[in-house]
Amino acid sequence: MSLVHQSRCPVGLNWGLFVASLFLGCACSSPPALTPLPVVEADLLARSCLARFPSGSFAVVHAIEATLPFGNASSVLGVSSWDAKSRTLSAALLAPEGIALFEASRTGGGEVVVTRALPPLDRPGFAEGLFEDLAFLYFPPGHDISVPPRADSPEPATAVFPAHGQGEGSPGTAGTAHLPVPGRYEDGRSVCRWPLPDRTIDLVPAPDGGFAMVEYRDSSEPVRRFEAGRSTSSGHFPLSSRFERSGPAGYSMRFSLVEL
Amino acid sequence: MGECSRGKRGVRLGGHDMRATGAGVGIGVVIGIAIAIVLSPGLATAAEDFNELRKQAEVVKFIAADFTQTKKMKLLKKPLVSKGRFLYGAPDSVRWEYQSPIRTVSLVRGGGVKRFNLTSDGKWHADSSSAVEGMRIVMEQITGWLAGRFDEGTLFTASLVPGERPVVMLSPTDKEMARFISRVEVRFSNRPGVVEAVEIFEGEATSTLIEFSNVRLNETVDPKQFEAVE
Repeated sequence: MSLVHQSRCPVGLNWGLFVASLFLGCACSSPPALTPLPVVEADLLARSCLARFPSGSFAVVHAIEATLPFGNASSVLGVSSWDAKSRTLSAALLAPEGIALFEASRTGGGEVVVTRALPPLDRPGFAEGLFEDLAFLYFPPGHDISVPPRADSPEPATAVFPAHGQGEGSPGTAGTAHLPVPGRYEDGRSVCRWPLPDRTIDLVPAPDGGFAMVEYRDSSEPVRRFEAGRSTSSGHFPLSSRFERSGPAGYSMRFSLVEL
Repeated sequence: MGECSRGKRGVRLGGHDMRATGAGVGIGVVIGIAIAIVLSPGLATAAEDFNELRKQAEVVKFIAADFTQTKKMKLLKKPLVSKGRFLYGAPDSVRWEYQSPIRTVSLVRGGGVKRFNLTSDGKWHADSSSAVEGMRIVMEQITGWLAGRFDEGTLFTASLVPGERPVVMLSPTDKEMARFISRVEVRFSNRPGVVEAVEIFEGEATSTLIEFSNVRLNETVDPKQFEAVE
């Protein structure tokens, strides 16, 4: 599956080029434009997008090929658990030999408690960044209540919405979530967009049942991107996926589902 | 064997910063202990005497074994099981290979350590993490264990619990090591010379159990197994 990046600026993935482009005054100020969808199609797409985020409590084990910050590349086992309602998260990284390299949890209020962090994973900010990324993967963007939006709506809209129609959690009982803005890219691909105050997140379904999620901050260059292949029979958990976070301390991880 | 000293950045072993490679040290300990264990075929018959163990370790030239590793921790709903195989060639060659759920191979030879990971592109890639350096540091320590010198290490103190199924208890003496390993238990079967399992405790709720099976001693091993991943 190809990346969903649709930059209109001549800026590649390379961070150095990205920084250079800022100094050159490139007008990279927004993610790709969307055109609205008909109401019925928009509603179906929005429901489909929100169904990517299962409600309930889960724990999964992944084999991870990680390119970690500070130039390290390694294979580790990742254990993560979360509760969609309380938005709590726990995570552990294990060496293949079983040693726990990192173990921490984050409350729904955002408080991070690190119980174990071996160097270099004990560096300041690593735990917080990891949980931001996990929240990006597991929770639907936003969690307030409002009314359904339209693609040309300038503000993020939120609503009580049955986020899930299937799966191990509680179908249709996910509570509240920011509703995405359904639309279409110029190249015709359907996309759900969450235009949040500090960022924009696009979720693009793929024909093979997978999807891609991209987060934009102040430019059309993605800050985070997540590509998921086909999922388990429940439809919730990608069998394989890839996450990439850009920036000076950026890293990438390729996930293979080991256990649910 | 490296000399331990303490500096601002942490414990230094043999001139290396252990703090910067803590993860690797832990990994190295797992491998090293397993090596030392399987290398101690006479322990059960000399359960009262580490000196005898040293002599008996000298007769082992090659070892091959399979292992099953079971990880327990609070975060895991059920234990996480890994499987692999282990090869040793005297005096200092080791191949420690995981076959599931992820594929990694650690090759130890002459004090040097290389680790390779099979990635999604179907190719083996060298591991560039600090864990590898940590493994190398610990291998210096393990050299003593390979010779049956459980009681001469600088990172652990060893004690023997004699009996029909003897147990060697290893407790970290080093502060940095104690941060991530609280103790290690080496369990021997009632069959003389056969190690049953090793369990590494990282705390009361977190442990790694490695159980050996199909242990073969002094069979011919292709030397290439210690040089290349395939």
